[in-house]
Amino acid sequence: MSARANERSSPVQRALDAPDTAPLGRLLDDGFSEEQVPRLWRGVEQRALRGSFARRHGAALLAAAVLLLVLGAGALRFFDAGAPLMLSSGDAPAVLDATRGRVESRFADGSRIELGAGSRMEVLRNDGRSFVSVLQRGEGWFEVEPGGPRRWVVHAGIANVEVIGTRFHVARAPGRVEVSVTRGAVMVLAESLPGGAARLSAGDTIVVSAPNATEASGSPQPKAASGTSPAGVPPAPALAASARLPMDSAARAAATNAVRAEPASDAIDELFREADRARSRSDTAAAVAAYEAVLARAQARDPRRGLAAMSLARLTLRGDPARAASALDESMPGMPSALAEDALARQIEAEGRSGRLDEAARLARLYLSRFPGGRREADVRRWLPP
Amino acid sequence: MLPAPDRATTPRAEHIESHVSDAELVQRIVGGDQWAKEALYRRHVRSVWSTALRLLGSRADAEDVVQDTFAEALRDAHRLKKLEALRPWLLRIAVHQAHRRFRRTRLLRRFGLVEGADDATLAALAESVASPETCAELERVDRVLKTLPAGERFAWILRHVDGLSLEEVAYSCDCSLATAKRRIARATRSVEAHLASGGLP
Repeated sequence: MSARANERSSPVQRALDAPDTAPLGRLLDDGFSEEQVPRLWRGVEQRALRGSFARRHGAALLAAAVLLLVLGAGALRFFDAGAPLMLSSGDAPAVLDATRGRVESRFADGSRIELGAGSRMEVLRNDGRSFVSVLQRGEGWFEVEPGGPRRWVVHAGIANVEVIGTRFHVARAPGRVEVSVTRGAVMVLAESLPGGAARLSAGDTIVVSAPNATEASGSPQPKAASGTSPAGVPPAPALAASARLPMDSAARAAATNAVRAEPASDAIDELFREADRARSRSDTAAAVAAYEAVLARAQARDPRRGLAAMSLARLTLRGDPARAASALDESMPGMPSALAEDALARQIEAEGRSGRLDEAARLARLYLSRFPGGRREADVRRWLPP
Repeated sequence: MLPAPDRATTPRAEHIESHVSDAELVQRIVGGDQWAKEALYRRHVRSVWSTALRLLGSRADAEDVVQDTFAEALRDAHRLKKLEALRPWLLRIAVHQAHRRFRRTRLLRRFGLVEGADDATLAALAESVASPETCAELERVDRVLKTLPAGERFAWILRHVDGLSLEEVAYSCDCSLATAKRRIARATRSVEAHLASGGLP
């Protein structure tokens, strides 16, 4: 430091004389907090979506990732982004690294993650509404405390798992993801699955393979773990590929018998399979009828009503938007929270297209209050009066 | 019985372990890897936040700039020629976004459309960690910085608050080295004059 600097003893004066070694920044506390990380990231994503929408004029994107839905609690929940989920130690989880051996992490809400040796997981988003992580390698056992406000999402490359209150296992290897459920129910949706989806209950296991890792038939089939595939039950046929949003895939519930442990199938699951078969032969009327049968039979808070309504709405939005709006309106109470935002946005569009502009505007205001900065905001705002 | 979680396995956000370099993250982003986008964001968000906050003096404005910066960077990652120079490139985008925000806020204030004082001046950021005398001196610096043109203000803050080299300041401000030096010199004269006068206008 120069002699002149020595004479000027205040930190500000030293910064003026020697910014390379004594910048003022050393004196400052920027007050950056952990909770800002996921919140700001959400804003980045929103900006990216708005920019993308403007460039592509509303064209749907084909997502590489797959979304799995849990048919667990089923109650419709709307939460504002709030405090992150902390570990029971008080730390904010960022990376769980089991490179040196199995690691168990317990969370303040009672949830638990155990990573197998050599595994690694990174937390991408953690707020009052969601806990999103990526299983970068290896395997993990997840025990998500039921009744919590957050949806948990585990990205595992070619397949993602979204759960609320369940116990499940995800193992990721190159070109392959295996999911098994111990408690609760999970909907697995993947481009490579017949019908694009599979429903797993407690005791079920499914293996999802990357399309280029499958047999020469070019139509990848889910492979059941040994011992869980009922004999003589053919897998559901693969549907024609089409560009669709992840949430569209998520709305098409399908169960494949190949992965159920028990030969007897639920009547509602059979209706979903019927709908998938109808869609594979482009019989929209038959598919709509099957979804309407689900709406008629499923209990009020059965999450499958929401899945059927979303699928029905997608098929009828342009030709019969009033029907789409009605189906979504009836099924909203039991809508899986993972679909709630898209379902409401779709209902708004359906109401608007059917001429019920006041109702569309009312629901648009509801959407904006429940999902501030939501990913469908640009679409929804169109239905507000100028 | 498994051992309780070790603090070493649960590092804080700013110490994300990484075996993936910035260059590799950028390559993965260009290849469409969604995980790489968020990983890059988490690695650099704190430094971008810090710079934006100091340049603008407002937390709300800084948050907007952080989000705009990463949205632009992730969209334009394919344009980054030197993959290992990600950090300066990010900073340059942040400074550009801060410039836009600064001009806009100044204009809105002039028309009375923005109320409230800045909540993240240098003095405010030092309040919890520095002595009262230092805070008072920083308040005098804040008063001067408020009167400077954006270019001089930003160049001075990048140099004397963030400690960037002259070359780094020039790159971040997207100007020549000579221009950066000139802006910093002018701002420094104003600051020194104000400090010498005891902070009196």
